[in-house]
This record gives sequence, C-alpha cells and structure tokens, in this order.
Amino acid sequence: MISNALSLMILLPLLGAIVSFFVGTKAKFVALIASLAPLVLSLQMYMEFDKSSTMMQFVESYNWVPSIGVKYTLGVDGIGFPLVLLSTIVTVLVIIYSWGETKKPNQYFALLLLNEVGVLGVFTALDFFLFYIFWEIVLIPMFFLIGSWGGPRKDYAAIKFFIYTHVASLVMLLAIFALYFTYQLPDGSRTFDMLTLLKATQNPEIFPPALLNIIFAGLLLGFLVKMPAFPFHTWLPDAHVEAPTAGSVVLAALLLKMGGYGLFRIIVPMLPSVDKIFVTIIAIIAVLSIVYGAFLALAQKDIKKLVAYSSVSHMGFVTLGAVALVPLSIQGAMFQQFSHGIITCVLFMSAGTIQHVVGTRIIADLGGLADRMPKFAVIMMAGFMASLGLPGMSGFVAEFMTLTGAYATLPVYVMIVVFLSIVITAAYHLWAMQKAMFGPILRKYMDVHDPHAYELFSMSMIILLTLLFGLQPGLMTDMMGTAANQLLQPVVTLSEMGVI
Amino acid sequence: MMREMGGVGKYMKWTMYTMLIGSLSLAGFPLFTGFFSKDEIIMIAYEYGIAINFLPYIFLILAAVLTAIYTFRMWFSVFTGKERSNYGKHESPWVMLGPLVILAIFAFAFGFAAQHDFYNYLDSNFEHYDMDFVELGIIGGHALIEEHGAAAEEGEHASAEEGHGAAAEGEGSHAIPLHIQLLPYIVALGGILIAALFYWDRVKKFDPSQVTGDKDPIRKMLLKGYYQHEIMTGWICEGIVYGTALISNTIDIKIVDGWLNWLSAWVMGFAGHVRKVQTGVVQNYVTALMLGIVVLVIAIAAISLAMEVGLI
Repeated sequence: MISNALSLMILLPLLGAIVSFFVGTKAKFVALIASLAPLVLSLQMYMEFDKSSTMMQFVESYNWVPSIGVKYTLGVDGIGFPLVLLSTIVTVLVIIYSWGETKKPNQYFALLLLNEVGVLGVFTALDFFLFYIFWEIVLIPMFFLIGSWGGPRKDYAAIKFFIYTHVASLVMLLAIFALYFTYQLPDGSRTFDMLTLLKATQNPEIFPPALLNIIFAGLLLGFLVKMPAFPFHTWLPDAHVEAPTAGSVVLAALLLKMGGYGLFRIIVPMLPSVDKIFVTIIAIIAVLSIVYGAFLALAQKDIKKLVAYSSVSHMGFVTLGAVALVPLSIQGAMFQQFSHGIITCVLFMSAGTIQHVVGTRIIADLGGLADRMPKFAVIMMAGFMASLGLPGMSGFVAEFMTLTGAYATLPVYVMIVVFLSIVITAAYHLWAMQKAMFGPILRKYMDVHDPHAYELFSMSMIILLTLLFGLQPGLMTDMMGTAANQLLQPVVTLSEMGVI
Repeated sequence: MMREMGGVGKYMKWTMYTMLIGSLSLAGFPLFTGFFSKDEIIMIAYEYGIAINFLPYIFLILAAVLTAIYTFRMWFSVFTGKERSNYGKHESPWVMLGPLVILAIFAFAFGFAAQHDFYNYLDSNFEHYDMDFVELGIIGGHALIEEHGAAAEEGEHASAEEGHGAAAEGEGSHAIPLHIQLLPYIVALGGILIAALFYWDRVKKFDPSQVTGDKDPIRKMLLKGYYQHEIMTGWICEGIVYGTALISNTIDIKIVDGWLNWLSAWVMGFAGHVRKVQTGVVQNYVTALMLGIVVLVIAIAAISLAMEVGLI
C-alpha cells in the first residue's frame, strides 16, 4: 500500500483541477484521469480496510501550525470511509455524464475536481481546523458551478446557497473556537484535534453543561443547514433547480452528506453529555423533514424540484437514525447516506437529461417519453424505484434498518407518521414517472430520442451499484456497524488507539 | 362490459367450457377442487362456532352463496342467451386456450386426485409448530381458554389441559350433524340455481328488474362500486393528501423561505439608506471626523472626572 494514501487521494484531484484549468477543451480527459486515480486508490483502500476494527485507519499526522496546535491529521473509520468511496465513485460518474459540456469546459471540470478535493478532505480530516478549511473549500466550486452554468435565476440561487450555508458554517466555527479555548492539554497547550476535543466534551468538569449546550447548538446548526433539515432547507430547492445537472448531482450526492457526516462524527458523541431536550428537538426536526419534505415533493410541478425536496425527506432518515441512538438505526442512517448518495445521482441525471432532450422539466408538459426514449425510461424507472424504497435496491435496506432500529426508542405514534410518509414518497415518485414517461406520446415529442451513450452509461452504473448494495449491503454496512457500535461508547483518541 | 355480451358461447366453445369448470370449482360444486378447500374451512369454522361463536361460520356460508350466485350470473349472462351488442366474434388462439385447458383440468381434478397427498404435504409444513390442524382451527389460544377455562380451574397448568380438552372435543367430524355436513353442497347448488333462475334464458323465472329499479339506492351503490373511487381517490388522495401538499408548499414559500427573503430585503434596504452617508465630499468627512474627536474628548474628560470624584 502506498503510504499517505489519503493525502494522495486529496492531492491528485487538486493537481487535476489545476492542470485541467489550463488545457482548454482537452480538460475532460485530464479530469477523467484525475478522478479515476482517487477511485482506484479508494478501491485499493477498501480491499485493505479492516472492517471489524474500531480504530482510525490510514492515519497521517503532521504538525502544521504548532504554535496554535493545528495539525494536519487525516484518517478514516466506518463513518468516513464509505463516504470517501461515495465521493470518488460519484465524481467519476459525474465527469463521464458531463462529457458533452461545451461551455468553458476547462473551468467546469476543474471546479468538479476541486469539489472532490473539498469533500474528500471533510470526510477524512481529524483536526477541526483542517476540517473547517475543507468544509469551506466546498462552497467555492459549487458557488461558481451554480453562478456560471446555472439556469435563469442562477445569481439568486448561488448567493442564497453561499450565504445561507456560510452563515451556518460561521456559527459552527464559533462553536469550534469555544471548544478550542475551553480545553487545555495537560501541558497547558491547546489543540484542534477532533477526537481529543470530543473526548473532553464527555467530561463535565472540563465542559460545564451550560457552555456545552451552547457549543452543541452551534455545531448542530452548521450540520442541520447542510443536511438540510426542516426549517433550514429552503436554500436547497433553489440551488438545485438553478444548478447545472452535474452541480445538482454533486450537491445532493456529496455536499449534503457532509452534514450527515458531521452528525455522526461530532453530534452523536456529544449527545450523552448535553441536555436531554436536544434529542427531542432533533427527533422532531427529523420527522418533520421526512413528512414535510415528502408533502412538498408531492406538490411540485418541476421534476427537478420534486427530486430536490425528496432529498430533504430522505436525509430526514439520516437525522432520525442518528438521534434514535441504537446501533442498528445509526448503522442504517449511515447506509442511508451512502445509498441516497448514489440514488439521487440517477434522479438528478434523469431530470437533467429530460431538460436537455425535451427542453422542459415541468411534469404537466411531459408525457409518453418512454415511447421515444426506451433505454432512458428503463434506467429512470429503476432509479425512481430505488428512491421510493423498492426491496432489492439499496434504499430499502437503508430505510428498513433505520426504521427498525428507531422503533426501539422512538414513540409508536412517531413511527406511524414516518411509515405513512413512505406512502406519500411512493405516490410522488410514481405520479411523476407516470405523467412524464408513460401514457400516449405527445405529438410535439415525436422526434425526441435516447440521450448520449455516456449519459446512459453513468446512470446505468449507478443502477448496478444500487442493486449491488441492495442485495449485498454487507459490503458497506459491516464497517458501518462497527463504527455505529463504537459511536455509543466513550470517544477514544488517536494516541489512545496508538495509531500516531 | 358483461351487460353488452351474451351468447358468446356460440363462438367460443373452448373458453365457455373451461370457464364453466372454473366457475363450478370457484362456486364450490361437489368434487371440484374448490369444493375441497372450501368444505374444509367451513367445517373448521363450524367447530370454532361450537367452541366460541358462529359469526365466522355464518359469514362463510353467506359468502359461499354469494360466490355461487355471482360466478354463475357471469357465466350465464356472458356465454348463454342472445347477443346483446355487436361485438367481435372469434375463439382465442391456441396459445391462450392451451393454458386455459391445463388450468381447467387442475380446477376440476386436483382437489379430488391429490386430496390425501396434498393434505399430508400441507400438514408437514406445520410439523415444527407444536399443534395439530384441529387445534389450529379452533384458534386454540387464549380466547378459548378464557371462555371455557375460567369456569374450571385456575393456573397455567389447568388452562393448558383445557385447551387440549377442547381440541379433543372438536376432533373427528362424526360429532358434526348431517345437515351441517350437507350444507356446503346445498349452498353451492342453491346459489347456482338462483343464478340460473335469474340469468339463464332456458329456465328463467325472474327478471332482475322485478327485484330492483333505477331508484334503488343499493343498486346505485353497487353500480358506483361502493363509492370507492369517490372516497379513496377523490376525498382522501386528491382532497386530503394533495391538499396538505399544496398547503405545505404555500407555507414553505411564504413563511419558511419568506422570512429569509424578508430579512435580506430589509438588510439591502437598510444598506441603501446607510450608504448615502458616503457622499464623497471631503468636507463632510472632515466635519464628521472633527465631531468624532470632540465627542471622544468630552467622553474621556467626563470619565476621568468621574473617576477622580469617585463615582466609578
């Protein structure tokens, strides 16, 4: 195994981004190679990953700014590694899907690669300072992707996206500083080390409950906005609707997962030490996101907006599973992150393909497209089925595990509401599918045809992945289970693990 | 629509007879496959009736009559009689008739031929459960024990014994009187007879229009399919569910997102006023600067005076 694999994985797309920025129309080849390299690396790491170990793996740690205790520390465990895989897979497929991009392709592919740098950093950084840097890096490529390649209201959407999530990030930064300035190492110095600080929060002598509650609320806000959870979700539909297809895919598949990742990595270990009211609040937010998101999706006329709101609903399951605090539900919620990450790709790609083949995304204006786009219709149908939770595909496994686990701790009436929302989920998926793709073909769509092979390829790869993880969820859930069990134990720092 | 057919049997002989076999089986005509399964269930329901109550048994018998009636209403009115409209007339191709014939053979003979072997096979599925068929039939569990066991003894031991006793009582059909054993036959034949009297031209004695009229509310309800479409699709789906969705959408736009847009509009408006201070005229800036210095000097002087006096 190559040493410093994680650093290399982050560095390669960064190099690729710089190179593709300068090569003009050849950028897509550079981008493909620069994204395939991390994919190969991450698959290699998957082979070597010890799924039963609770330790951080592939750890690298160097002093960066010793005077203020900033270290360059990377490492993955069952929480982060599935999302690293998700990022590398999705980036490659998005680049293939965007093969035909003609508007400033060099910048476009450079931004997609830069985005990969950011999300990979977030999922691997074990130092709060480094974590925050990567967290903010992600905003920049997405801002330009929406702002330059977006739809008619792209300026509004891009600025809203940036300010909304940036304000939440700043609140999170304040909370991180509060952690940093409250805790002192035995030798009097301070540290940004994530696990050390999290361990300290579990000690009420260091962090009095009153202070910890405020810190916790700040961190929570940062993650819930990113998720996004009700009532902080309104930046999402605007950003999605205006973003180019690749932007939407990356936004839904990777950026939202940063919020979920923060929930597992930071919020869940702190939950036992903070006020009990927080569990109730987060559970209410989760259930509202699920139900309200589903109702909103049902009311949409634009198929892309429908998919965007379905993300709110599906990410609610992640929050719900995390806050139920049962190993099974946490494991299910982690798997929901991965599963939603791949399924939402195919949904947004479908919406994008309809947009550029037919010219509109308004469901009422579509009809009978399956007649002229048979291959596309099959793939889209499979994607919608995966999204509504058809057994045999990964979404079902994730939701099943989450709800089965959550049943143990949440009140029955809450569970009834959540189960009923699954009916609404099925309703809007089937309704949109039926209106857009089936029925008699409209005369004006007589000469539409299946999209390019590269688009179909990306989408069908994702369908295969959904089937693979739906039938063999253990490939992912094993390591998640280990991590979920570990999450409910006291935090173990890197030095206690003996990995640095 | 069945009402528009009639006399189809003339053109579809194979379909007519295979359908007849299927209908007889469904109606529970003796010796057809459907009879064996239905008979078995009805007898178990009777035993349950003796033990606890007869409601399930009564419903089963009623359902059996209705099944026989509606099956043969369909068969008589579609395949016999006169043509009631100008429909396309031809027999189905053999790819469709082949399966039909095979299924018809099973519908006729399977119950009788496979009676014992198939029952043994079914029994073997329940080997792992610690109960036999009769016990299973009498829903032997707690309800039974509470009904009959309470009077006898108390405690877990006693109730278990009671359960066995009830099971033994129900065992063997010789305890069932003859008229009960014959009832399934009577019901099936009776139902078919009723259907024939109404719908078979050759023996027709009654006309459905004598029994019901256009204003009959029951007939109206049946024609509307118990208003399922109105209630489920109309009220629940389009009304309640979609209505909730539309309301949520309005709330989302006006309130959950609205306050944010309101806030940003307010900030922009405030900034619009504030920026007017930046006039670009140097004299204004110098004036403001001097005023600031004066205010600072006065403030510092006041504070130091207050400290000397000892107010602070």
